[in-house]
Amino acid sequence: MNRVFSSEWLKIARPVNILGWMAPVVIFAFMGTMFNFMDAATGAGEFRGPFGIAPGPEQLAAPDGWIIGIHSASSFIGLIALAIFATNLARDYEKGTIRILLVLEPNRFRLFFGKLLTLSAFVVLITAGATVVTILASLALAPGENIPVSAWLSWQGMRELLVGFANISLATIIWGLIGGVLAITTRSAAISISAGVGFLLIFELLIANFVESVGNKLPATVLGALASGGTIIIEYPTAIQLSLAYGVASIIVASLIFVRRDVTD
Amino acid sequence: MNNLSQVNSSDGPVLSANGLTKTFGKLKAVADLTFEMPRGGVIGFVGPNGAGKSTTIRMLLGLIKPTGGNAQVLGHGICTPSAYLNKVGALIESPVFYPGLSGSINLRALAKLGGFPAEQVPGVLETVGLTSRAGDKVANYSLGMKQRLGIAAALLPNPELLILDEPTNGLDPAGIVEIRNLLRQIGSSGKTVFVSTHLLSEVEAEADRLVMIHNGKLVFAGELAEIMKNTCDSVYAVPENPEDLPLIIGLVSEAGYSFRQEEDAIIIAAPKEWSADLNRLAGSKGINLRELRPQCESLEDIFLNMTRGEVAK
Repeated sequence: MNRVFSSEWLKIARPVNILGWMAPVVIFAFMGTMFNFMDAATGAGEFRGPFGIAPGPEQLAAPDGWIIGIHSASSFIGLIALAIFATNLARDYEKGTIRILLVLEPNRFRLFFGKLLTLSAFVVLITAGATVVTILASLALAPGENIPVSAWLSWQGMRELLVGFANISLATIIWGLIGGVLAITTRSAAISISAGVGFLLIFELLIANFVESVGNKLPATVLGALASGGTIIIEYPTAIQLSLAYGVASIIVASLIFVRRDVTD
Repeated sequence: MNNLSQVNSSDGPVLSANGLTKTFGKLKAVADLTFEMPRGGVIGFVGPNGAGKSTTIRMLLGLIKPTGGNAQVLGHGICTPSAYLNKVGALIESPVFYPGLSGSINLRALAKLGGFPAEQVPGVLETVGLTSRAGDKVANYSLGMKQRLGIAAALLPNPELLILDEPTNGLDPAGIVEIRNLLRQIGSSGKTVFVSTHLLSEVEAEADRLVMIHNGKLVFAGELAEIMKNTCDSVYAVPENPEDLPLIIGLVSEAGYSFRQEEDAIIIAAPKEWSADLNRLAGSKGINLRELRPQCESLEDIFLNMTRGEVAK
């Protein structure tokens, strides 16, 4: 597994690659933070497009207030993770590099899980970059909106930061795993990203509108709830259970296909 | 399929197949392939496009599972590729790399994956003549350079067996000769090179042994010398003066050989050694020959003769 990780990391963790994937995530996290702090005193409860409902000053001053911005960007970060997993896994089939990889590492389980581990580490790195930007932006914007930051810098604030980062990282990885299963199934980056984004952003909303009973069990909603540490609709324990179920199901399906399918092209 | 992974002998055949079969739906890509090849030297794996070469190679490398039969590589059954692939280097069809990375980083990534020391990378790059371009992105490589990089990647494990699929594709004539010499050098060092190609003339120039397939079926497996034996069984002669041709025909008939006439030339069904006799006989009659040479069948001719029935079908 170490061999696979170090080989894959050498390919993926190039500065241009990290910057290329991190830039949109960081920009979105910064915008989410900016919209949250904008008119904090009067804008609470306003709908702010892709960043959701604006929090009030009390929420922003709470111990987890300094990472609320990244919660707002979590779905976008998740979609980027989906694209990262899908691109990297499907590209090996599209380009044919899977052939040489399997000759050098014939244990397909090891190769597959090594790749997943590398991609997971990569999306966590990207999430960390977005989290740092969110923290810095929050610290910079809070004084202008008269938001006290003492709770953020308390032990409770640090704990909220770590738990929040863990939640959003886990959610991001599971978004990636969904991209992974689509990539392994379709062997096409374009198809897997379109299918993933199309389902998670469009069909999921339609399904939720028509079948209310399943609306709070669908992946984008559940992962959004996990990234936010739970919501009014989906409590944290339920969010984590359903998210893990999606993650494990994705791993099982993708690994079985990866291991059993002939490499014909 | 039998599990043959326990069988291991360093003196045994490098490759063997017993009834190896692969079907894709109704298409029988490889049909009941049976052969055995000893270690060392260059083995040509030949057949036209679509003959089943790539499918066979993929089965030998564990990329696809056979539908029937079995095969062994370096004494291990192909159902356990991890038992032998650490001793096998492979270039499968067109070489593919990550275009955004340099040739050197691509090889380093592959060396890490295979657990080979990264220090081998400069050596294999030098072997294939890519040292000066090692730092360039693969996206900027020509097809020939990618082929060389593919061979370099195949050499990383310091393999006992090198399996190469069309390694001279896209190379210029000088590059083809270089690769041919490299393969011969590797083959003569005790390692085995199993090289697949549809260019029979190429194999004729570099292989010691042949596995020849057509429509997924074995046509021939054995020494190249064996199949090329008795292929120079006619003599081509052209008299300087076309009016002397009937006299030549008379000499040939007198000697009891059959012949056919092609414009000013005569092609005689005689062993190549008879060229000297014909030269002497013509000289004694005062006939000058403008051309006189044994006419040999190429491997391509032999292949076409051997598969003529199937082609006609």
